[in-house]
Amino acid sequence: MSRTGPDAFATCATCAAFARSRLRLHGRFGVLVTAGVLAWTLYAVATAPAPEQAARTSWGAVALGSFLLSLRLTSSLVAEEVHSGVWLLWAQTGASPVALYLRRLGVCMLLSLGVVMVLSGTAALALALVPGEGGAAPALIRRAPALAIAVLLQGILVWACSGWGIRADASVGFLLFLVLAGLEVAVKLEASFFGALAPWVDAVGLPVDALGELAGGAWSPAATVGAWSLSWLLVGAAGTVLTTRRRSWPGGDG
Amino acid sequence: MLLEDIQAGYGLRRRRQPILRGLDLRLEPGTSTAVVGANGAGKTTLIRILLGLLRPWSGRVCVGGRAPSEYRATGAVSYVPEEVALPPGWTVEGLVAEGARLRGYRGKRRRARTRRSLADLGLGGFVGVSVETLSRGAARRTAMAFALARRSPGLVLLDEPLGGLDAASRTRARILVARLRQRGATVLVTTHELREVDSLADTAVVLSGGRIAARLAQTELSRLEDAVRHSEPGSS
Repeated sequence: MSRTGPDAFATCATCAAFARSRLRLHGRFGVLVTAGVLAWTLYAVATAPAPEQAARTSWGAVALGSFLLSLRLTSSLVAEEVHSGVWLLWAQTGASPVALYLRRLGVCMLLSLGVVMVLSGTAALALALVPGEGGAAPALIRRAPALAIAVLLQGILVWACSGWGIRADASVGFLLFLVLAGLEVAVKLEASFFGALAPWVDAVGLPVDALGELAGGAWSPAATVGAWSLSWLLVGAAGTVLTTRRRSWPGGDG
Repeated sequence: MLLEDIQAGYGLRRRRQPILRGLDLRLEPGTSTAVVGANGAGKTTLIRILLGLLRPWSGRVCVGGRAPSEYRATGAVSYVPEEVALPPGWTVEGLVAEGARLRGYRGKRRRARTRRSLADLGLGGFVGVSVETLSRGAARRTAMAFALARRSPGLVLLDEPLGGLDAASRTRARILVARLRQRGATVLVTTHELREVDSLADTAVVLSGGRIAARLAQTELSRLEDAVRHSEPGSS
């Protein structure tokens, strides 16, 4: 058997243990986010003038909810481990703290993907039940694979790159990038709450936007996914080149 | 490992009293040194400096020819705190294996390293057990197995290593320290249990008021209790 196989299995087992403990500790928050997303979806269905717009709004809710959930799980983990002293265990190994917690964030994003899928199914069902011209379910279902792939890709990229030892600088850069990319998607969904920010973002000229244009002309989910991946690779490569020594945990230099 | 004229404390220097006041200490590879002293003498502060988690106000610290935080980043430091906290959701074996993975072990070497660390600490029967169900002593042994899941001898910092251990586990811990010393590790142990010092260390250092009040070689350890008594504030 190759050396990669058992290691990959051990890593998965490790992350599964982490995920289990996180979900147990923060199940209530997950329920809260789920309830919020469903409420938002139902509100969109009830008030949107067209089914297509309702579908977009509900997808915005799903994406934002899953992103919030993953951030919440990771930040709570950091807080708990610092408070209890568990971080001292990790610190002594010399592992980069940012890479370590980004790996957890990657796991949380994968978990959130599960949440997205469940919610999307629920939302599609709810929308399909809306009387009228076929409801919004077809539009919602049409966009589901792109969004699912985007979230999955993010999770895998963060997880894999942190595992490969991408340096702390690159990891921080990627986190910032992720926030920008999330904002970009939210803005592009003009029917969403963030749609009002579109003129501001266009004025600033975010690089992700330009990359999206390059990749696909007019915006499309596939182009955005491609732009995210390409930008992340650039950020990772630059960070790896610029960072010449391994980062350590915060503290004195003696 | 070298500390010269260390002044250290917590918070801003001009507002606080230092905990360590002009501490000088030199430790050689293959030796084990016990640091004893009353609560607040500066034992844990000393460990935090060696880990690179606390920057001294003044003085020079050098571990393996590097600054402490740089040396720690190489993965050559093992540290077991006095109050052990283990992350929930892990099994004993999974956590020790993670310690080996973070230190660069992969595949068969990782599994072999994990098995050896578990066996060294007598944790063979705890392989699939959740860390949340462990007793205090078993949790401490798990933390030690995690900390020592590496091959190369380096710096080993054990804060009250015998606390909460039963007689058999204490014996195992003593044997482990002796083995580490033989493999060339630099071991530093803090303890309140003066009668255990000669089984854990070949040198003892008595800390009092942030300074070294006495240094005792192995042949002088029988005088340790007297040395500690005389170092206490108010003693004549």
